[in-house]
Amino acid sequence: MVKTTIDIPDWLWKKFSMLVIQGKGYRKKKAVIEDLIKDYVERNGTLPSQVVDRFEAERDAFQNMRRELLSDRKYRGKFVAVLNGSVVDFDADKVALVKRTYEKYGYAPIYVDKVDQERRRAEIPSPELRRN
Amino acid sequence: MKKYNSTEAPPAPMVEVKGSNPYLRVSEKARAKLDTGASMSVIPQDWVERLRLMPLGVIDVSGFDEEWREVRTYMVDLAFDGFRFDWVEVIASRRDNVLIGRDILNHLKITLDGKNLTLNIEDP
Repeated sequence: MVKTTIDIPDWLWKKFSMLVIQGKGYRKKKAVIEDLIKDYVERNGTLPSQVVDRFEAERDAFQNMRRELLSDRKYRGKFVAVLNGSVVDFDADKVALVKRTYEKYGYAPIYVDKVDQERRRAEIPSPELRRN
Repeated sequence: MKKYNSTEAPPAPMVEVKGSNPYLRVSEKARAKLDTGASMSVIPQDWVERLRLMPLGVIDVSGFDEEWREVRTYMVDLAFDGFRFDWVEVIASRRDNVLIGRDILNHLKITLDGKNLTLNIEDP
């Protein structure tokens, strides 16, 4: 185990404390912080950093192009594959697009998204109890 | 007919699932819960590393508390009970088992007999 100390603004700590008490009254602040760190590490640490960096760069490129893509009838409502900052292919069928892109460019971090106004959403509502 | 998994409390409809990287053909096995509440399937977080999966996109996901968070998606092949689903877009989560969501379940006829703790999976 490692002990660490961090400096954060008073207002932030107070607000965090209030939220923990209100939202997860049965949990301690320490447990919430530990969960946040675990979650961060597992979401970001299981992929090599160069993969994450490239993926995020392709994603940024998509965000920057989004308005332009939306205004183009060729892309609107379709999936696009972004690689090296550009759209390299598009298709109404996402799986066909992904297969084709990997086939052509290799198994690299491409970013694939639908050219749409709405963000994609999913629900995974099943709570599970952890028993010790 | 298969039996529910009784190590879960209460017993749950579960199957053995094989997940593979559709491009590299490396695979992992785990137990999977059939989860009609989940709109998409979920793999254990450590499969991302073991299967050497590439992130493909992002999606906003809400849990039981309706808190939304953004997560990365991946493509995997999933096989269970003689059925195979290729290039399934999934998310990863800190869990030991797989959740098979409606993205897959809606392709099958699944009968849950909770009274007798049995399940049957068909593709009629």
